[in-house]
Amino acid sequence: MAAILGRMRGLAAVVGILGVALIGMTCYTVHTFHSQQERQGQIAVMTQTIADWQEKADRLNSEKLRPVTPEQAKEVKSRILLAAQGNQLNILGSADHADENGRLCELDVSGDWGNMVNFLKNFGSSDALVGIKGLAMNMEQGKIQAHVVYEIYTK
Amino acid sequence: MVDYEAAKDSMTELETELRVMDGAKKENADAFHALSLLMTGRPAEVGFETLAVQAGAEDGSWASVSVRAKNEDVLQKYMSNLTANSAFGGVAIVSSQKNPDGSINAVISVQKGEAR
Repeated sequence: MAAILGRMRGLAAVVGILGVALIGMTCYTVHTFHSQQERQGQIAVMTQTIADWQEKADRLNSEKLRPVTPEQAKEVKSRILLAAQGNQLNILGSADHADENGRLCELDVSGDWGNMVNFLKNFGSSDALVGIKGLAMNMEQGKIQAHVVYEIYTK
Repeated sequence: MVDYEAAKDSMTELETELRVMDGAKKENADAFHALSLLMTGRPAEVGFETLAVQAGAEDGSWASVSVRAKNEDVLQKYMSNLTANSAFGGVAIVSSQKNPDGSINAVISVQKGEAR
């Protein structure tokens, strides 16, 4: 009787050890599976971020005109004024101030029709993003007076 | 190929620049384009007096030009030329006044069309 009980205890101990081992292995497997899932999720997020970045960078690089730094905006404005003078236009006035998109500038010029057209045609032609937001022209006896509102976009 | 950390760090800067560029496209009055189109269909007997081009005008107009035409036929011809141009979505005479010499002063307003 004592021998049978001893064997049963031994068997119970073996079963217990096996059970604990099985539970341990199951937990380890589940943990490993979750870690792997998490890692795969992270890899997917990273891959998507890089793909998004590449797409946006490609779009930016395909643009001919780009926003400039606030320091460069001053140079861009100077170039525009020089272009007006280069087209034999008289600069009657020029002002600018910073706004949410960059530098909002106003320019009053006068001159011949052909020179004015040339100036407007090549307005801000460089790699800087410049847009005319408004233009008012007054034409009298072949002389043109223009008020140009333009934005030099900054990043 | 850029690495993840670099991409993540510069993403905001990239998005800001793209947002500025998209905004710039909406704000651009395409002033020279408007001027060129208005000039294209202009008969020699029509002279410009003032021109105004504005992006995002409240009334939806793109440009407004005040002209002096030699007579009504010439003004009508200019209006027909402008209307036939698909770059303009709408062309209207805002006001007109006949002068004693038979010439006409008119203010014409144009809207943007599809073919731009």
